[in-house]
Amino acid sequence: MIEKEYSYFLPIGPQHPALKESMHLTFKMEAEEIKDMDFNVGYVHRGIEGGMMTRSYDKSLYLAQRICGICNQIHASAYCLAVERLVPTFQVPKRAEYIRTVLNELERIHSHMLFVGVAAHEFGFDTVFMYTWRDRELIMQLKEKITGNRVTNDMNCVGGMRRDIPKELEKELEDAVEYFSERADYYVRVFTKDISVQKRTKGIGVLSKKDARRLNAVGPTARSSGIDYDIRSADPYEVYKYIKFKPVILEDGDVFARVASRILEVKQACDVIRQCLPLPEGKLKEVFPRNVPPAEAVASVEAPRGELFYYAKSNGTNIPERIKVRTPTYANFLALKQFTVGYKLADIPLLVASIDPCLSCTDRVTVVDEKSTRVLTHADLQDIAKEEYR
Amino acid sequence: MPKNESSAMKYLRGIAKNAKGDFAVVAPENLRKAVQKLKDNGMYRLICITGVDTGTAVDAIYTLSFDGTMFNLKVPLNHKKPEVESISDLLPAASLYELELMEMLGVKVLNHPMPEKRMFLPEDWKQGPPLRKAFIQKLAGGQK
Repeated sequence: MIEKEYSYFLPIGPQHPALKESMHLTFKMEAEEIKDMDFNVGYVHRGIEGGMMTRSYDKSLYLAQRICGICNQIHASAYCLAVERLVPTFQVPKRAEYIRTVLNELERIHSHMLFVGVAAHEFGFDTVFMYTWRDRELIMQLKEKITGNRVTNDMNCVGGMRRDIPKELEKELEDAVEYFSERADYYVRVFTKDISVQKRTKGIGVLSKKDARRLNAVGPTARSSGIDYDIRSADPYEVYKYIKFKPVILEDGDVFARVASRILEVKQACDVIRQCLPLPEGKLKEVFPRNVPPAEAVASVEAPRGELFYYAKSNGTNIPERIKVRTPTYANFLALKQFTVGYKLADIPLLVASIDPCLSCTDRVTVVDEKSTRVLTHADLQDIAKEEYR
Repeated sequence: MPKNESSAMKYLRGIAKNAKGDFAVVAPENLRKAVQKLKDNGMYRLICITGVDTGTAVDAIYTLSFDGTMFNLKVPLNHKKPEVESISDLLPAASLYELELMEMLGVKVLNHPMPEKRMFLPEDWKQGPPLRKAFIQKLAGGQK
């Protein structure tokens, strides 16, 4: 009978098999139970906000799209929304709004399929991981047909869209959303009927409604704890002003609710795309002034992980004065700290994965070589790589 | 700009219910009172705290939300020595965003729960706050 209590600090990260991206978590443990958690991010800091302050609005849009790989389209949409609001009389054409919404919802479907696969892998169900990523492949190929690229598509421009969706692809979109609605039903059945999945996820990592409210959790993390906060219905933008939309709210607040709410959101995204088709005729973009008059604007959109917030400030030139990005994963860290306490060491990978962390969104710092004043060229980097990774 | 505290609160309540994304200027000493009054009126969500270096002042912009209706409190701080009081006991999420204010803009946040924490910058960073105008203008040479 062990009577002494074992108390220690367990560092996880920045590189760890349980984590998909680099972050540093320190768990204060007593035997197998988690007592407290501390977090440190900043390993993927690239200097995007600083970079946006020295580049024109069009070039900063390219930077905004490359903040994150999984939610790149939504970052570009949010940036365009914030910058377009700097000129209050500016109106984006309707066809552009519809195309933006269709692409955002496709992004949401693929992101949630990715998450369901990763969550299944974390609790040991690798077959579901393979199935969900195989289904996700259909969306990636559809995105490549529509936009030309699987990930970073650069379809948005400030003022509308750069390229169009041809009429022939609308039929393929319809077929794809029918298929995905059925697959979402299938995955709901898999998760609710399988006993080992239920044992691994029900009652684990419970975030109460009171805590979710107090700590300002966002996205499916908050909506699966009963908080009714979805920007698409609370403050509608783009096409959500015109269509019927109801957020997915679950009450339990455990890991199972967080996974299930994302599968149900896949079904909801299919419904939104169905309501957007056929796309209305019209112009693709309006001309946005090159030198934006001094103003300030804020914009909030619903990314797959939660509420994404952009703040833009202009100063009369074609270079933004300040662009600030607040991503949903950063906002959910306090909630993560709250709901890991009291659970076991073996649950850590699943608990951390259940907020669907996207660290590339979270760190946006700059690159400065501080040890020397040498500027590295592309050729230098290639030489260093050949040396180090031989 | 309203002169005494009660008319400031009426002004804030007025713009919060009608305006989306509007900005209201609040003096640094009135910030905590303003946030407390808004909390009593049912506001519980802090979206973000943004720091902007305008050249003459450092603006701390608190974006708050009444469940969808966003509005902003703009707090102008001293340019040479910016200081503001923490609101993380009223709104716990503020502690995360005030870390960014401290690290990236050099604002001193009083009574912050984790004042020594380095979140984004490396431990041996010695070049000063990176989002200040002076630093950005040094970076800007040759990148237009």
